[in-house]
Amino acid sequence: MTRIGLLATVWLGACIAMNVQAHAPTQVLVMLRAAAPHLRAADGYAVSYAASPGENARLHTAHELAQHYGLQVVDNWPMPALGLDCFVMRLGPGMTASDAVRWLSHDARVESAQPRQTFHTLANDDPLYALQPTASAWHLAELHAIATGRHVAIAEVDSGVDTSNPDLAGQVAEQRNFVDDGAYRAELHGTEVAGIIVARAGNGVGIAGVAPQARLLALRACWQLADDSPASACDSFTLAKALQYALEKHVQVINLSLSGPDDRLLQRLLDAALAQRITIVGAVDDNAADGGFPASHKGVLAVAGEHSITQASEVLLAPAEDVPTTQPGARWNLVKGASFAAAEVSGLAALLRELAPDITPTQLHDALHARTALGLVAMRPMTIDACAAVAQVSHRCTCGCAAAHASLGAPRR
Amino acid sequence: MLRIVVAILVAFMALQARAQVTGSASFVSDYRFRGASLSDDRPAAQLAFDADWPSTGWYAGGMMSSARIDSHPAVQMLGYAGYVHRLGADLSWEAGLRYTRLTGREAYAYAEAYTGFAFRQLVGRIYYAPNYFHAGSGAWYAELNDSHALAGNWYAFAHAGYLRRNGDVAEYHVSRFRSDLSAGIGVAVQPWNIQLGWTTAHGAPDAALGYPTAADSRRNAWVLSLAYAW
Repeated sequence: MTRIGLLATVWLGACIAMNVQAHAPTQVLVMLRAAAPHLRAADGYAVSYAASPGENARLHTAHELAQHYGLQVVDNWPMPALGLDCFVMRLGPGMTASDAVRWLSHDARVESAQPRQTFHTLANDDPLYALQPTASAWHLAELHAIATGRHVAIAEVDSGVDTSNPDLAGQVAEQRNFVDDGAYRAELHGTEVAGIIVARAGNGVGIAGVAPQARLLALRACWQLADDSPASACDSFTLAKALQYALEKHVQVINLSLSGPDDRLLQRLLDAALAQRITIVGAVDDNAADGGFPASHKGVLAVAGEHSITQASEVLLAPAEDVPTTQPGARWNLVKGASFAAAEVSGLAALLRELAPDITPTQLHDALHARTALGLVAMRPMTIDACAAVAQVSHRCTCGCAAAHASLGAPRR
Repeated sequence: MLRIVVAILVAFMALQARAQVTGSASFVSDYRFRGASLSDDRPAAQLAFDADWPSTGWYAGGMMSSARIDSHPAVQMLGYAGYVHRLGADLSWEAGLRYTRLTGREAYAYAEAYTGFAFRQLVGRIYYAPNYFHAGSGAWYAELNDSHALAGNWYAFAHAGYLRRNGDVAEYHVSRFRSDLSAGIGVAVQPWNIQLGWTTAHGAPDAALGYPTAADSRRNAWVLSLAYAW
């Protein structure tokens, strides 16, 4: 009996080891500093005003590093928001990411290094619940009477969005693929999240997005893992490229319906975005003790579903079950998961930023975070009161003035 | 002169370990400098290198170019060093010194200091040379450069410059000011960079500013450049 138990333990241990190995990073991200633009030899002496020879220099350095440490350069991307170029390097045989990161981090030519980590979206596969439009919980029609997200740009960093759905036709301002060099692909999760944020309102079909007149930038940084499932994966590099692009486009809101481990490069890009007063919304992963990154990052609006087990007081709760939304083609379905709660809050943030373009992060935070009846900060997560948030930011009567004032204690349903 | 070059190269090699170094070889159909042709309206070949120490902000570089001075072939050599500081993701300032001389025409050697800013693709600089082209008078030069990405690898660029010569210009009976403009398009397909631009100059003649150009040098020109970077 003892022998059987021992064998079982060994077998289980081997499985765990294989599993860890299968998911261990096989690539690292190596950041090299990029000098700020400055006078070059030929400046003024030729017509070469737009050349960027510094890129070549960093590519040389990256190849030198790769050769020295037994790595292989497979890709690179400029990150001007951080003054860096990011190089993807594949590990050599028998090498671990932690070893490579340790060696590279001690090299004076390297600004920083980290594993290329994996992230995943937060949608559940089983959305078959009774139809219950979540938009009604926020009195969406009444909110749309005063704000629809007009002139607000939202970057949806996700899998691909299908604009052939009638609810999304003309609603996506730009589509970019950061996953690979191939064509942009329409996928489930990205399309579902997009519908919740910007689905066309009043067109006689489907649903109404929370911010139907916002400009959505559909940045494909995640890829769908199977044809019939919204489960998608992303990694540090693809997400970083998409965030860098969002920064270049000066969006006001970034939606991150995904989760993964702490990631230094992404943290720095998020900090750069927060410094530009960009509202960042992240979905809370109930399977992670701290809610998962990026929701756990300071300054990010962490959003969980209303039935989440999370206890963190900073977490916002929004409807996450039986949410009707768009799917690729002319299809709609009910979905559930924190991904969609985050999408709703991104839409709501767009409404608030339309009403108050210069709103500070603190003001936006205060508007969204419910307080107790005595006006105290809540000690545990509370459901967002969208009407109260809009009323607070716009200083206008919405959803019935009396209700809005009374809503400081508990969200209206 | 050779000793100085060797000393610079040795120092450069010592610092190279931590530097980001790049070089380029270029062919230009006309070597234009602030609107004046230093190649007598003829083609020129150029070799340039740049080194950055991004963790410190310091940078340096140099260039050699064929030229034609007073209707004779010459080689121009220039070196520069400066410091650049990033103020934010889009904004930076810099300051530095540049020195240039022409072989066989040492009288034209001069140094100038510069400072400037860069905001995204927009770059502005002011230069001051106390003895511009060794002509006995100082000169201020201000410039704005911009570029804009077009479709694919294509981009457009534009430059505007304004020069003011100090000292007495009465003997020339002309203005002490001169402006130069250029604009064009380019395509960058690593490691190649090709540009075609139109350049023009207005105001004081070359001689009044000390430029060592031919008397019949044109003020307007199309310039094609082909550069290979490594």
